[in-house]
Amino acid sequence: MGEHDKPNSSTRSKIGECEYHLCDKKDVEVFRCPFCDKYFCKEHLKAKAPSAAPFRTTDRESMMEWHKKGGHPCPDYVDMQEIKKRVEKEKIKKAFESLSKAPAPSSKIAKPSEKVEQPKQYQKKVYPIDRPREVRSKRKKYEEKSGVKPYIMKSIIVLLVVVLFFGLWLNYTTVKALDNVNKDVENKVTELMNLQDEFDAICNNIENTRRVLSSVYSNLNSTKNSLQKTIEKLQYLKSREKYILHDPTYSEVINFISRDRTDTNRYIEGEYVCSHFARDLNNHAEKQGIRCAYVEIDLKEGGHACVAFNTTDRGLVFFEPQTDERVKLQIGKQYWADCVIPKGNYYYERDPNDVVVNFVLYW
Amino acid sequence: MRERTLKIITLILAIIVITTFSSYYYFSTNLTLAKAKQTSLLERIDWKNSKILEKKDELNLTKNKLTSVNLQLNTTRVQLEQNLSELYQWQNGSKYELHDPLYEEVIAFIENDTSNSTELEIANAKDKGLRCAYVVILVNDGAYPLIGFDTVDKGMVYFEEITDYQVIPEIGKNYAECVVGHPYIIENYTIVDILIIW
Repeated sequence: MGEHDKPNSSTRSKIGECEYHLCDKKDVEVFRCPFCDKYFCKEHLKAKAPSAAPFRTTDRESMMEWHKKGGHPCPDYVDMQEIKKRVEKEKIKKAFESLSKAPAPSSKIAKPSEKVEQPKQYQKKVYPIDRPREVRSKRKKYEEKSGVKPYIMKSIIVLLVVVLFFGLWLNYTTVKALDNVNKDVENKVTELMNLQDEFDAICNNIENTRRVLSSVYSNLNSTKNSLQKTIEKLQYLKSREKYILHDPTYSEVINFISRDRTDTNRYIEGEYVCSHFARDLNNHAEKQGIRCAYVEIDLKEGGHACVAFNTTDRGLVFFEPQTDERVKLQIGKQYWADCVIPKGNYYYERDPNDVVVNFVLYW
Repeated sequence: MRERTLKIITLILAIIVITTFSSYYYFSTNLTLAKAKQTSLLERIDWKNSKILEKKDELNLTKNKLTSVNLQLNTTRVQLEQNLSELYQWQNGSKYELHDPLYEEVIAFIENDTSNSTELEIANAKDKGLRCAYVVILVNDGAYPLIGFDTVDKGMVYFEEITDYQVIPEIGKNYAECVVGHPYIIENYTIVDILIIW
């Protein structure tokens, strides 16, 4: 990469803007580059090979060239240099062949001459220094033929590779994220299902509890009703006192009968008769807690009524309520004449119709 | 030749890149959908959790109510048992400890008693602590024996011993008319007096 000769005198100049991309000079004298036909200021007119910094190269000259200030990167200049080198090589080769003494067969000479024809043509057509326009047109032809400049192709490939890696990285991260999200979704679905199960279980529990509650409520209501009824019954029952009766002693009976005034009632035929006397004496005794029986007696003709006590000391004793006399009731005997024991010195007349046929005690 | 290779490489790379980005588009679309699903699931889980909390509260309330009602039921049962025990003690008597019964007690006794005479029925009733009376319905030409109870809730009630018919006797009325349900042919038996012997 060496510096080429200064532009010849025929290079056109004008007042304008420097086309070097890093130069911001305007309205200065600019000169046309003989290789690329662009206009540059004096500082950037020099054509240089476009390249990145040659850090890896061992070519000191290249490094120094790259570091030099001024000039502009010119691809056409590089092409021209390539062609120049090739021409130089051909020249050396030709000189080497002419120096060799050995006569070469015509057929053999002819072939290399054919081969070196091309550089000759190049030499004639596109001499880089004197005819840069021709170099430029050749390059343009090549570009037209290939469509894209090679370094652009390389750049595109690099770019594509970078983009590819970026895309792959994107794919990798997306797939990874998708995998995570899918796993999370699966977990969430499981969680949701578990929650649904829990929800159903709770709902069932509520339903069961409500059913139990309803049953307990109905039970409670029926129990309350029963309680209410029982309380009412108890209130009814307690509104009256219990009747406590006892079997009396004989003297107690005598005492009771002597105090009782039933015997003083008046016997009225058809209205207040023996059964009324017996009823009253019986009821009076029971009121005083003395257990007493109403005795219904079947006589041979008609009937009669008296009372009886089951004394604790003398057993069952009968009394005539109309007279308060004791009665030794026996079936087959005349009631008044045989059964009733008169209190004083008197007796009852005998009557065959008074014979006791049967008697029943109603306690 | 070199340019052609470059072109092929470029083309292949371009295809790979396009494929890569297509698959990226596919994956990213799937990812968006999955994220939407995830969000929806999260919302549903939150909603479900809130519902579960509500239901748990409801369950707790119901359980508390149940506990309270159970307590109430137990208390009521204890009260009922105490009252029933008292009632039983009150109703459970003997011929020396009598009480004026409830109407239902009388009905239960009448329905269950199988004795075939008034004096036996009276004795049976008194053995069970039921205060009852031997009732003589005096008619113009004879008498009808009945068993009578002075019930605490419905007053005096009378029953025929054999038929268990209830009788509502009134002096001056025909006896057959006084039998509930009028099962008898009305004859000329006018009630002249009612003797109630306890």
